[in-house]
This record gives sequence, C-alpha cells and structure tokens, in this order.
Amino acid sequence: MSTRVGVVTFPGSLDDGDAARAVRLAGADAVGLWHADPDLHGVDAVVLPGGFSYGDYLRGGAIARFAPVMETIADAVRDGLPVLGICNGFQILCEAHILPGALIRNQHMHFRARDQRLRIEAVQPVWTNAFTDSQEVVIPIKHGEGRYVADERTLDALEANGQVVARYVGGNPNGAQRDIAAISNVAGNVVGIMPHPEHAVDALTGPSTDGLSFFTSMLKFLAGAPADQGAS
Amino acid sequence: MPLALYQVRWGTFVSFREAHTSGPAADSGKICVHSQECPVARVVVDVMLKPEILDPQGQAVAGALPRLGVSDVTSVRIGRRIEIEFAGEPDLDKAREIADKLLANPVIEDFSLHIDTALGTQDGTVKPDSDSQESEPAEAPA
Repeated sequence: MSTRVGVVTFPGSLDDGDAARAVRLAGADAVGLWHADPDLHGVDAVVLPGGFSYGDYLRGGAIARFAPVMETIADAVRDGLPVLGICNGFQILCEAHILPGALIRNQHMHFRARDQRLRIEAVQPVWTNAFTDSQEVVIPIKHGEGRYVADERTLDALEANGQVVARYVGGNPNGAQRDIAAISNVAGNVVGIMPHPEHAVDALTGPSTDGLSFFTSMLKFLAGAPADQGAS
Repeated sequence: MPLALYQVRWGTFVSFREAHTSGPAADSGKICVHSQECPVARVVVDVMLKPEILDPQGQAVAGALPRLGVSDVTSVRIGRRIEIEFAGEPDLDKAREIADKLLANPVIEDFSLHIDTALGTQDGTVKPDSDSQESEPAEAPA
C-alpha cells in the first residue's frame, strides 16, 4: 500500500502542485487537502506549500494558521505526524507556534529569487535521513519575508538541540539570524524550510535534484527503514 | 470568530463608504454615511515591531528624509494601526484577544490599544485644506 502524503491548499497557495509532484516523484501518493476541511483523510504526512496564502495579508501565514485543517494538523503533530512547511508553510508553522521564532521582511527589502546553496546541519530521522552531515545542496529560494528571527535564548536552544536543519552558505539571502534556512521542532517530525525543495527534484526544471531527498527521507522514515542518526 | 460582528479597517487604507443601518448612529434615527461625521466608538490597535527587531523599512524611510530637506531625524520605525468597530459597545478584552492572537505576532511585535470615541470623519484622514483635491462628502438623506 502506497504512502499517502497530504498537500494543503490555502487560498493563495502557489506551490501545492509542485509539492504534490515532488511527493509523486519520491514514490508516494499525493493527496490534496483543502484548508477549510479539518479531515486529514488518513494521510501519513503533510506538506504545507509555498505561496501567498490570504495574500500575505497582515503577516505571511497569520490568517492561514486559523484554517480548520491547521487545528487538526496541530493535534496530529503532537502525535508525531511528519509535517514539512515550505516557505509560506514555514511562516504558517511559526504563526501557529508549532515552530519557534518568526519570518520577517528580508533585511535588504528585496524579494529574492535565486538558486541558493545550503548546508544540511542536522541529519534527523524524519525529514533529512537521506542527506549526509554537512552536505551542501542547491535549492531555489523565492521570498520577500524569509528572514528568520528569534530571541537569543531560542536560537541557542535550537543550536544546542540540533534543531537547525539547514543554513545558508555562500551568502545569506535575507539576513536570517545565524544564517538559518530551516529548523525542526524538538521531536523532529516538523520541519520548516524557507527554500523550495519541491523546485529541485528533477534536472530539467531545477538546479539540482537535492530537494527530492527531503521527500525520500520522509518516505524512508514512514517505511520503518533504520534511521540514519548522523551527527546530532 | 464571526467577522460579521465587527468591521475591521486597515489603518493604511482609506475606508470605503458604507451606510450604518445599526449601531449608535442608526439609533439616532438617521442614516449616516461613513464619510460624514458620525459618532462611532471603536477600538484602535497599534502594532509595532519589538524594539530589538531591526526595521529596514523604517530605515529606508529615514534614508529618504534628507530628500525632503529633513536632517535631524535619527530613527524611523513603522508599525500598523487597526481600527475595530463592534456592533455594540466596544469590548476592550475581546479586542485585546484579537490583537494578541491575530493582529500582532507576540514573537516580534508589541501592541497597545485604546477606545477611540472622538467624533470625527469616518475615513480617519486629516481634514484637507480647502484648496486640496479631496472629494466632497456625500449629503445624508434628509
């Protein structure tokens, strides 16, 4: 039986289609989840895609976090549901306080769209077991509010707990503190990432296929494959 | 929460015109068009980035001030103002809950709120000079 991965569509989501495609390329069934439907339809994992939910009105993700589907996801996360929040999805997870910190306006005030080098900082059992420690990857970014901020105590805790999943290398595109591009919750089942792994899944349409490893990691985890603990 | 109970207006936009059919203005027995003066009690929420958060937007504005011939401004920080009108009496506790849960992100923003009962034009703009281009307010029906 094939693994089912839900991809949520909010009003204004843009990259739900590409996220679903990445799920299929990784070898799972993509299940469309509607923001107003609190039912997760038995999916084994969820992707919150990129885009401009509710036009980024008020703050990116500020309104989407109150969607009915998010209430169910918040509960399911506590039970270990794997969730990947990409760009706007990362913003929604922070607004929902499922992940700490916040994403604010890029420091240089420009919307930045480019292929970005990242270093994978934490090889975790759920979303990054297919990477090697300190592996450098190239994944596109496209955002105007991608600057990750949190107070010093939170940043220190993220570092100490191995919750920093990826950092920008070769230039910080948005002024994110400690060059943070992706973080996880303490349990590791939830990852928020500003770059777009779903745009780096095949050689024809992306700068690399590095993004696919997030999705294959998750499938490997769900299949019960022995997790690569890696360096913590 | 049912947003139909409130009117939430975005501080940086001019509000659209709309007739009151309920609330204090209608109780007085006349229909009050928004652009006219009518007494409405509303809660105003001011949201600002916490002082320790860098505000590049404010910095960009500060950088533009010399072009206006202003040279003695040392800092500009930009927030947002939200006006909330309740169907009944303004509820500060409810407004505080709205502000804390939605209008401000407590990770990066602080907010303050107050009840604004001043009689004034509903679009909240400063009354223009007589030679400005502001359009005439609509006449209320007799």
